[in-house]
Amino acid sequence: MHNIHEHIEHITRVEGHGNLVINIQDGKIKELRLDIVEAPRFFEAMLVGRSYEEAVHITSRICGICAVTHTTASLKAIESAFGIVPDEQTVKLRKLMFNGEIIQSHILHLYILAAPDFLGVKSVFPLIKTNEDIVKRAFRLKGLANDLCMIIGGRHIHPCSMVVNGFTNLPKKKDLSLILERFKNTRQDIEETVSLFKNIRLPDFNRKTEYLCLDTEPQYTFYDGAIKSSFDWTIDTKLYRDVIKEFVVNNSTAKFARASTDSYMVGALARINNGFDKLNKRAKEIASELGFTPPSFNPFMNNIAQLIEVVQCVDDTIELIEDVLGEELKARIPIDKDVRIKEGLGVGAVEAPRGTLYHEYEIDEKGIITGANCIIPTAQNLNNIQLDLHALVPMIIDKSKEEIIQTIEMLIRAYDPCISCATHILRVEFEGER
Amino acid sequence: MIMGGMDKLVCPCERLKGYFQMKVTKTKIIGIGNILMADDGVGVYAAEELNKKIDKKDIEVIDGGTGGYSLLSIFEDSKKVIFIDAVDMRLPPGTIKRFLPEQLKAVISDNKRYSLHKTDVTEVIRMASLFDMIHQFVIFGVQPKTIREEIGLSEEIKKKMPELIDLVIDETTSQHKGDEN
Repeated sequence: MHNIHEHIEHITRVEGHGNLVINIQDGKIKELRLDIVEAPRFFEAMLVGRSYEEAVHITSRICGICAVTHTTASLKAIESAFGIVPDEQTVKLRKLMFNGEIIQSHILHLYILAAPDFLGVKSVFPLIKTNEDIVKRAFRLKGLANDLCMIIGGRHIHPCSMVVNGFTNLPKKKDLSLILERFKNTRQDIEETVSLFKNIRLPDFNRKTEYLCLDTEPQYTFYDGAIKSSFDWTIDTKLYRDVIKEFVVNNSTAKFARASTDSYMVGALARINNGFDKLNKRAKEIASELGFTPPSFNPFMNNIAQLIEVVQCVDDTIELIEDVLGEELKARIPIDKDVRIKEGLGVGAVEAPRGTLYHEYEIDEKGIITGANCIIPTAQNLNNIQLDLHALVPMIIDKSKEEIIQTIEMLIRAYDPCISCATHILRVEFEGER
Repeated sequence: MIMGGMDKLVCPCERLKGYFQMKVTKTKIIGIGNILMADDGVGVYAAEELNKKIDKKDIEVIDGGTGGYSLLSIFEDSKKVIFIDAVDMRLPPGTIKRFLPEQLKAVISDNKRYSLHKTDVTEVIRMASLFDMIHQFVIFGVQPKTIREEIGLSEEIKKKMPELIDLVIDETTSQHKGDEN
């Protein structure tokens, strides 16, 4: 029996913001813990005292990868408080933005973070020399999704055209037609992505848990719906506090969450486990090709679930753009007239790439935010990761130290955790300096 | 400054001309950072200031925020990219340093990571360089004073903003010795 005592801090370059602590003595787990600081907690305080119009500019900056979802959760919370129901065109354009964000985020995770594990390399960089085509394909797909967000959102990094009850600018039909053709021509890249991931061998690890996601009829959803549990209950998102219980534990600064039982999982695997029947035809075919049968209790399958969602989003995007092009896009929405400020409490829930995201605001009669609560997907997954780790490690305890750490890291990566992107500061040393 | 204290918040990118269409230009100036994290946002603030001063067809100024790998598609057609970013150089707050990526020690870890939410500009540059996308990168690093959940720059950084702007404008017009690569 070997001993392992590791404190791994390379989750993030900001010390103390995300650590993995592994302490195994004589084959027994003494300590096994993943600490993540939840940055959005700090942003809640930042929102208080601000006008509802400013919220979008703050929330779109919380995350460079999930900006559309944070922005939309925020807009939906405000619209809910004001009693605004956006028109069909706005909802369709927002759904297209979601597809773009899900595709670019999943592709980035699959190719840059997960693929190196399965291709036996340390990071994506060695792949550029050995498999340049793979890396180029990743960025081609990501670029396509980014361009979709740019056409509608004004920018693909921190989109700025999304506002309460509409968009400040509408996409040009010419741009939509061009991107539609590009989406139609992406079939080969998708097929090659499926071929790449079809051959990977995932660790055989299963642990039954609860899966939560948004659910609506009749489509597969990222934008709206009620909270659905794999434990056979559904509840309105306005009542999320009744089912999602946040709690703190010793030795961790992060808040954990639970619903029906000790832990639950959100994200692609949860959505596909709960909504497999609602996937489009090609996504179901690809799921079958990839050997995915719902429900899957293997968290490593989250990688495969993400790929199935990429296929879902590509085909859904083609359908949605054709739909939008079939109608006359209305001129710029007169935002000021359309938004009647009133005192209220609103909840905005959406499916971010990593799972359900909640924003809840209390707004006064002048439109000033007086209270805010945000629950991010990774915070909800944290206890599930922890329990997975405690179930997984005894199964692999006889493996080498390197294999144990590698498998643990792969498990954490499978969840595609969102670790504080609040700051990205670069620390450097110059050549020739000490 | 655009977002000092509790002034009404306006998205800086809304003031950036041409933000709805990325132009193919010879030079792109990209301000990087998170404006919700005090001095971390120096690059974004600088981008807005530069937009007021630069009016040349072949130069585009972009608010890159915390775009990470998404930045790649912004500058893929450019000959020269100038990044402005908060950089911890262990120097006094407000110190501005111009450097080329190759002047840095190998700071990019090849280690596997758990999250893509920490992609910094050197990784993006490395990726772009390996793809032979760009001809030249220059980074203007600013030593921050305060990195915490706060909107607005510290006084030390605000004072250095005019100097930073001048240096970046000079960079667009002059060729530095030893930069040819």
